[in-house]
Amino acid sequence: MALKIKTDQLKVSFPVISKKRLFSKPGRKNSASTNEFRALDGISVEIRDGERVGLLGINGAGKSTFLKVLAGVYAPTSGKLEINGCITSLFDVKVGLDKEASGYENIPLLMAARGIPRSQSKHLLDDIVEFTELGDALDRPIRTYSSGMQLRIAFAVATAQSADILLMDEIIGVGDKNFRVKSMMRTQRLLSGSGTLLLASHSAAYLTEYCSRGLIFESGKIIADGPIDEMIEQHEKSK
Amino acid sequence: MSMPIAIKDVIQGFKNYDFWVTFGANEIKKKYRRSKLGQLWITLSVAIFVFAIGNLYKSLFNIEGDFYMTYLAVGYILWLFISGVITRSGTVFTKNRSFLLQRDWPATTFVLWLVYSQILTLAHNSIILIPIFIFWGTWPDVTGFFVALAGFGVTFLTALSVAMIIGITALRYRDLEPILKSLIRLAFFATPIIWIERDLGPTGNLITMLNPFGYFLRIVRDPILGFPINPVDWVVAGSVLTLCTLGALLLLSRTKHRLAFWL
Repeated sequence: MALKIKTDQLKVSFPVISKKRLFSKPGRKNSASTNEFRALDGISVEIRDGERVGLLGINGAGKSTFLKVLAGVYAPTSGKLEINGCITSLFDVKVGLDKEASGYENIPLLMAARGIPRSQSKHLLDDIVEFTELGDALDRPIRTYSSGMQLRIAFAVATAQSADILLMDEIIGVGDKNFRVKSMMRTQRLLSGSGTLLLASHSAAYLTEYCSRGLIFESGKIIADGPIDEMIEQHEKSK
Repeated sequence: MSMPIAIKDVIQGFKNYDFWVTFGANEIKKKYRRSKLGQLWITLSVAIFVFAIGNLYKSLFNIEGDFYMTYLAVGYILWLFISGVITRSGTVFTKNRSFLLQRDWPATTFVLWLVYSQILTLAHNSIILIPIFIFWGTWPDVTGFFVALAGFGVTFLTALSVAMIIGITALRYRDLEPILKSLIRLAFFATPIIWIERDLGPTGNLITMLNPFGYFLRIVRDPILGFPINPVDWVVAGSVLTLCTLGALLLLSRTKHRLAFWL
């Protein structure tokens, strides 16, 4: 199995830019080190082709930052990062929605936001419309939709193209039961057997459903790596 | 960090054509989706301004000849473009924070979105020139039209670079945006839009010489009006363009990997 993602001693620090006094008192100068926050502190991990990996950990443990580094949002401060394949990220699928525009008008907006080329949009449209099950509601402005309905259309576009490496950050936990089942099936189809998945979630049910391997994050480090069931158990105990 | 990072960003930004064209057009639609006259409002509000101010100042300044309305309209439309780009570029990245946190975006894409939507507004505003040309008989000749178009090309490229420089700097130093907003209001009065450059005295001449906006206005407006072309205007505008482009590329290559952290 080919290596999809490899990181070695990956570190990411955030600058904390805050209001500084224009004329600070002498001797009270902030040192540079206190103005940085280390979000990831030496992550070394290897993820292979077709692996389904769940990321566990309390809020602020570094799960989302790790996914954002893989997605290319944040550049590593130090360490090595190697990615072989094309990344699709499902963080906030609603980005690009225009509340005043109708459902149909929003589909090209969402496609543009996700970088789906216009040449592809025609043959993806039917599939998207069918998945949303919104029917005539697609002619209405999005602002008249419930948040679940908005999620449906956003999720439908975000998952219209097959993915090589899929990154998901806690987005599937919303919507009614029917939607949850459908979105699960759609995600599986999207990965079509060989795709690699990284999923950050607090829901044990989702993690067992989607993943086979688990990584536990704590203060920017991976503290455990193993089969998902064991990892969930270990994480539950430590809470 | 070296220049290729910035050049790659610019190329990818232009390649994201689908994105900034779709969202740039939507920005215009968005404003007027629930209004009856829709996009016509953009043109109308400018037409009202030009008509009112034009007639007022024409008599106040004792301006003879038919050129003043055209002079004012072209100058004001261009000013709306320039000031629109400058005031909005202070928030070009913070406003698109949610996009930037999804994946690896070229920074240029968002600058192009901003400038493109300002060009669409400019196109809407330019409609008012047609009745003015007809009424005052000030149609530009073919050469003048193409020279003006070239002048606007220089203005457009400078706007891209300036928006990139302001966008990045204002993302890091948030005080820049409010400063610019108040300065741009002053700049309107210091730029030959309503008034005409003649007999200004030493102070007036100095302001005209130092004000960079005037040069960009003149390289577009003068050929439309059939005024003689002043090579100095083109040299200064070209130099500003070169400097800003180099500055923007240098700044982008040095800060590209930090932008997301500053959001």
